[in-house]
Amino acid sequence: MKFSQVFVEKKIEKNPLTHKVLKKLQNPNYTVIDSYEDVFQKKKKPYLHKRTSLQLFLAEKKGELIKKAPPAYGMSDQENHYYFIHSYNCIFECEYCYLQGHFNSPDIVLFLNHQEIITAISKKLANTPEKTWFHAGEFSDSLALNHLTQEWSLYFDCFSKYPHGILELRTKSANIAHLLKLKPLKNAMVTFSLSPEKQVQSYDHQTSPLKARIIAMEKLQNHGHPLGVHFDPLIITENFEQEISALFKMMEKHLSLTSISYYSLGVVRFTPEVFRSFQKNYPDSSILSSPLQKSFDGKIRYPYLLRKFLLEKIEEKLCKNYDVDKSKIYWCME
Amino acid sequence: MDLLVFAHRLEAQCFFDKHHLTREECHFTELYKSPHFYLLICGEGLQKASESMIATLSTQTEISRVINYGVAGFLKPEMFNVPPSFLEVRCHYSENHFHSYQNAEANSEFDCISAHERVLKKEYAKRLSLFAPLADRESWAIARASSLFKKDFRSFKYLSDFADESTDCEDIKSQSSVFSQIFYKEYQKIKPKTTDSQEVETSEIFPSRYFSHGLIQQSQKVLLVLKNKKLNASEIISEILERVLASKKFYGRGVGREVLKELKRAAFPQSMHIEDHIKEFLKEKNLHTILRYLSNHPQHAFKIETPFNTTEELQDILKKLSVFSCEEIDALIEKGLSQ
Repeated sequence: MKFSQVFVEKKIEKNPLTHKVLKKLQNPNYTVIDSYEDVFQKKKKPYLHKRTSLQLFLAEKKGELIKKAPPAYGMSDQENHYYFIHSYNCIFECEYCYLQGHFNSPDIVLFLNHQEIITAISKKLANTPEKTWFHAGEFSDSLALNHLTQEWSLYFDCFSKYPHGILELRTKSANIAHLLKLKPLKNAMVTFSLSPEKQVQSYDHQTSPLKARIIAMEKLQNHGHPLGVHFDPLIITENFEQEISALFKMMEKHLSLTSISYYSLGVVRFTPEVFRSFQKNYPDSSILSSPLQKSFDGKIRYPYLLRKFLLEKIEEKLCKNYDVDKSKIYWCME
Repeated sequence: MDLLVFAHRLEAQCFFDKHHLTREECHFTELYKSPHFYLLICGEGLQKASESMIATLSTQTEISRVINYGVAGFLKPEMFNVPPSFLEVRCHYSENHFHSYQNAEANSEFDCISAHERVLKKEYAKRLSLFAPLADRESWAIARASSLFKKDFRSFKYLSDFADESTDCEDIKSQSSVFSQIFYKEYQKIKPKTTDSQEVETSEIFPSRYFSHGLIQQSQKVLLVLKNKKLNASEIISEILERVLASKKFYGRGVGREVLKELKRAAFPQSMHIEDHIKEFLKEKNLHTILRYLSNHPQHAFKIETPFNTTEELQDILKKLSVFSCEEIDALIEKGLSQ
């Protein structure tokens, strides 16, 4: 990964993790700035400039370090769901990604004050006796740049002390070398977003190919890491059922599907702002030729019947053909 | 027609030499016109450029594309090694503004930031270089005005020098006639656009006697879907229009409404198929005058639409409604989706 420019916040310039990242980047030229906010999002930078001139900021996360997740985010609304932010933006380029309308810049910010984030998580877990989830990857891919940062060992140490806390690392990357060195925890889950192969090739630019993701899952499963699967976003195609069947077959060949901790299903959706950016960035995307319409909550998504059809088809196949327990399946943001 | 914009007259000298340019009456601007293009001397700095651009674009409606030629300084020493001294800018930033504007066709990777003053100090150059490798004084304002008036915009810069204490503005000025020749030569490579093909297309495809503004907007959305399906949208629409007119069942805007319906059928066959099944079902059950299927509702839903003013009439409606079954509707939908 080559960044066009690297910025380092003054206060973390001497941080050992900063040195580690800079060393791995083999990029000794960097600019020291007071705060990443002096540059990042200061000007509106076109999203697709990420293809040619992506900048990297090494910074410290300020403000709220853990945030309450929105309703219908996780497996059960009865459980507590939080997400924490260890970075902004993603090196991948998925056509439907909401990041294209979320930030005013596609540049990557890596927050390196993990100890502070972990302290906030520990504090929350110490004061909450109920099962509580902490999701990573809300604004970035959890593993895509893990070879640079290798932060998950610190989080695993924290979660080993709180069995009622569950860590979710969400990814489309096969960058698992660091995870394979860690002792698996029952409450630290690696979850992969999967789609039919054709869809991955058409829309998930720069991500790990489907087969690489599944093989990475196989290695993690063999190593003892609990896994989760996100079939999200589901996109209607002419051969939807055949494509999904092929995906399930590929998964079955490498994985024990009944051992997957949970399956989350979600249908493609956009907020109006993200949809505008998506139309501008990918005017030829075939997603635009599917029957998207404004929905009850203002989001752009398929009509209810079509969403129901897609979600039920997957659920039915998983339960009937692969003996997956229905209680492990949930519909995301529905 | 193109509008060529220069900050200084000397930078445009070659255009004056080779074309018969006459001064146009346009408020306070220094605007010239030839049979082939307009030429504007916008002056140095963001404010002057904004004012002359807005005055020009708000009065000269035949302008379809704006092209800016000028000089820029580079802000990073490593740019010394960049081979092209003349390049197209990809994106324009401003020192004090948030929004950025992209060139219509740039393949370049060079962005430019418009500074509020001449960049004559290393520290100032360093601060600006956080956002772009090049700096000029006006292109952001020209890009912004073009964007506000929805004109295509391109901007080309001759890299004059490294912007810091060593910059000699008089030196740059003395080279203006050389820059001007380069700009002229480069302009010959760009063919001007003469018509707004989009507008011609719209008025030809959607005759105003059949299509209201709203109908055109709705139809265009559906057309986009058809185009994305790689279908020949204009062929489909003229075929449908011909068929609807031949049926002689529709007149005036009714024709447009029917065409839109048929277009939707071509774009979303599955949804329309389901809708047809449901309408047929309502007719069979004699409920079509009482119930309306809401196809745009986020969940499938029906609306009871019938007047009554006596208890007997209400009971009659309820009796009719008693034959309605949600399960039958679900089955119809299931059937429609699997077809």
